[in-house]
Amino acid sequence: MISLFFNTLKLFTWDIFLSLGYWPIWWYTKGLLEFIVTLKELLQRSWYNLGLGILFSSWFKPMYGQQDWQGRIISFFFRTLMIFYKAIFFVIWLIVLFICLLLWIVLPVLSLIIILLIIMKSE
Amino acid sequence: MINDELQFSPYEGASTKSIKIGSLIASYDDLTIYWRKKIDATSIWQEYIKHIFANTVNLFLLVLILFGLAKLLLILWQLSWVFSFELLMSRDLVLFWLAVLAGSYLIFRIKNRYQKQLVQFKQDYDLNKNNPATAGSEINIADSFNREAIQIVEKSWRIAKQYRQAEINPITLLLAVLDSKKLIGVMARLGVSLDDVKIRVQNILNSHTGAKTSEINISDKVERILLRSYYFASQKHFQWVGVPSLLQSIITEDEQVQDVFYDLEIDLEKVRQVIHWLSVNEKLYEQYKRYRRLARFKPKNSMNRSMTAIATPYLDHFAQDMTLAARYGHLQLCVGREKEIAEVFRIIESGIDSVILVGYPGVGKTAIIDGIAERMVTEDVPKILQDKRLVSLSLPRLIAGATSPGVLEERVLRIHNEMVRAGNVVMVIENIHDVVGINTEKGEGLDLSEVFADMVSDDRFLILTTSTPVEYRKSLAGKPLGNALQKVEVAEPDKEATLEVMAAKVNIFEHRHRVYFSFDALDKAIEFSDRYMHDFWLPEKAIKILEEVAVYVKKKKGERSLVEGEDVAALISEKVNIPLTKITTDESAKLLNLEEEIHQRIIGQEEAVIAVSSALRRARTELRDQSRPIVNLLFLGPTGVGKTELAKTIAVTYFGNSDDMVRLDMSEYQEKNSIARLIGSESDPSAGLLTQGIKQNPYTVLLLDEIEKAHADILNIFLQVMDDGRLTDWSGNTIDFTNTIIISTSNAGANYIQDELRKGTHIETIREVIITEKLKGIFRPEFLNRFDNVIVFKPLSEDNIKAIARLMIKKSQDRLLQKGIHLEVSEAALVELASLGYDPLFGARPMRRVIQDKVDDALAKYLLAGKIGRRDVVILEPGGKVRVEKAESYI
Repeated sequence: MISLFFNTLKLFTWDIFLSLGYWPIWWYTKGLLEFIVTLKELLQRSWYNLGLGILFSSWFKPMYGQQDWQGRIISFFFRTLMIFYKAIFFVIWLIVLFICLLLWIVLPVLSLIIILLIIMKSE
Repeated sequence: MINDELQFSPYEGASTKSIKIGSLIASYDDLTIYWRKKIDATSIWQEYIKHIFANTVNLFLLVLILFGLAKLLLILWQLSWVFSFELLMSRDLVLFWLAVLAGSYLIFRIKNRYQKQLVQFKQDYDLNKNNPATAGSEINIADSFNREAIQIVEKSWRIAKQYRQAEINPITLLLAVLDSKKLIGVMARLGVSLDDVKIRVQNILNSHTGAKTSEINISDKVERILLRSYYFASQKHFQWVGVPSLLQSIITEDEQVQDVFYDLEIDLEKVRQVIHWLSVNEKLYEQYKRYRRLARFKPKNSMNRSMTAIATPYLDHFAQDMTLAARYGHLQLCVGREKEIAEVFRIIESGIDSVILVGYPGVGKTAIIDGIAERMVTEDVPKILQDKRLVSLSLPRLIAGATSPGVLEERVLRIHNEMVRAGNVVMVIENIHDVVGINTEKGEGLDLSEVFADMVSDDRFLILTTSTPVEYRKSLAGKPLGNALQKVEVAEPDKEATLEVMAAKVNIFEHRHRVYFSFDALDKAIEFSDRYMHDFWLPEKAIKILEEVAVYVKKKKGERSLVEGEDVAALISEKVNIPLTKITTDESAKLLNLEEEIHQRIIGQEEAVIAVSSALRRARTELRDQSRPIVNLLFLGPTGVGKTELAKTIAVTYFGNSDDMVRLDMSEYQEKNSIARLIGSESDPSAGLLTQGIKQNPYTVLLLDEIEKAHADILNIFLQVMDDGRLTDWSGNTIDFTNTIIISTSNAGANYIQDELRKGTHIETIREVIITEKLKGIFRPEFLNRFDNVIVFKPLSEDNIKAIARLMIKKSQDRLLQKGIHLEVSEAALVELASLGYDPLFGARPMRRVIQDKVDDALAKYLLAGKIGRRDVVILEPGGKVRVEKAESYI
């Protein structure tokens, strides 16, 4: 019974050490890749939700079937305006997602460094 | 036993250790799978401790994160939310930085929980593209079992130990699976209680208890089960191997388990279908969530997202916007139908062509159109359909009020113009054949179909239309409108596809009527509606039955009850008037004593009654051939011996009513051209006494009186009916005869029968001679061969005639009893009636008239004269004399 207990303990210790060792590797390889895929999906979704693709492809098409030149000019300016303000939303979102990516990459290393610095300073 | 692509083979390098860890491998689709996980006391204990340990670590990390964040907020609050570099490096924030690390480690731990691997499946079926199968890889399937499935395997070890089994066998595994909460749903749908199964399994285990063993290994059979469960999960594209795959696998692999379920009337196929049903539901829910998310971006009005369209107020007046209806969830989610929708898309993509969906009513043409509308909402359509509206034109609205010349044409042209200008309209016209033959100028103007043909052939927009095969053939094929449309045939879905559609509908009915459906109910709804409702098509007819049975069960058993197969059988039984429910003890007693029951109406003719009773018993126990009529009988014998009466009795006994019987006097069909009266003709479609009669009432007795008198060509028609159970009428509709009892009667050989019986020849011998010799000149041999039984009716004996007289007088007695008068008949009077009522030429046919003259007339006179009162006893004497025994008067 005692040997079983020690065997189990040994197993867990190995488990913890192995997982602690694998954690940084995973974080900067597979984990990072998965995170980038998620961010990409979020970005694609917002592109679709804002309808930017449709707006770009119909930039020079007249709105509401107004085929005359006045209609075409008004449509062009209106569409440009729409693309402009929707693009702002998109860019803001892009920046937010980029910051998230940066945090993923930087935060663990940064916190580790800061903790080490604080420890060294206190000694 | 099972024909699949999963190949088992022994594992060469099987463990030589005392505890065996898998000795089999299996392969399919370039994948090799094996099971490597120790299941014994130590590993189960370790697994358990590991689980607790992992949860404790995670909890600790979570607490650390919360404290870290709290510390950060506290410090910031104390410093009035002023940041500085020094602050980040301050000792007070160590806890926060530790929390950041803890957060990162927690994410890692959760993402890599149990170091598991998702179930692999073929790439080309992969819709989410998140799980690519690696060709040629070797997989330890234990890593793909979810926690519950692993616990079940561990539990089966404990059960094996508890019941002293030498190894983990399929039965112990089954008992472990049965404890899963997930199975409650499966078992409820299968219509059995978990406890019923458990008791049987425990009994098996108790009867096989062996000696206590120190080591309990996984048996080879269980290993096969585990491997197969992975295969099932992979086929179904589940992420993990879970309880449903495990259950399906146990039942597939082990015969003893199959027996347990078989006793409860559950076979492998049922289990497979129920699991499929549950997974369809899960997928449908996922589909619904995605649909709702994407539907928000479809415009709320007739404008498209790129705002190039123009409003279509005139068109909107005559049409319904289907994409808008779909956007707000007014259309039901389309299930299946991928094949047809893909075909429509292919035609549309291959060039601008309009499409016609041709299928029988109820096979799902509207569902396909709804499905296209839904895909247009989520934009899962070819580019040409993207950012467009699907608009359904209502023909009644278009035609209503268009009385003046040219109005209709003008309406269509204006709609046409609006569609061209808007540029984002795809039109739907259901039942487009309805426009053929419509015009406003009393037959002189242009047919509306030609105006539509012009619109349909316009390349600038698309039109989707529907029609039925009969109407397509009649009004569209080869005509300008039909030529402008590409035909897509919509076939009646098979059982599996129907089941999928129904599984989706069931949720709605369950919610609406607050009852629950068992799988058997769905199965029976499909089976019986397919077999007995020929004028409608799947899946609609089965769905209608389901909705009806939901209401029926709610009324009968109350809310929250289970709709079982028997309820469906009872409902369809009521509709079509034939018994379909399971045979109750009362009914089986009745069926076993059918002869006695028939003899209450038929006197004598023992052989005939036995033959008919056996045929009815075969039909009721479903041992008959379902593709032929229930039974084909030929009754031979002189007139007035009870042939027609027996046919009527059969109608009452089996179908409950003799009035619905289809009776054809074949002496009226002596001419060849009288065929038209049987099956109808172009000039007189309403004729067709045979086809119309059976079409309106397919569950009946078809009585063909004096069949020998019909023309030979007419008998040929019946050759097919008796053999295949079907007949095609003049218009090409197939009429189903598989639920009829066909009885033909004939006087042929009557004299011979009488002569031979007088000589004392045995009835069997007479029958042989009649069939082989006497009928030869009258019927062709192949016609005679179609009969299941040729029954010879004997002439009536003196006793028979007396019994018939008694039976008929019984009717008069009953009538008088209603007036409170008792009628008795003396023996001498009965003998007199019997001799008067029998005629050597007409049998007992004159009996009815004799009783009318001698009994009823005399009684009528007495009643009118006021000579008979209530409680009096009337005694009938010979010569039609009546004696009255007055009752004691109380006045």
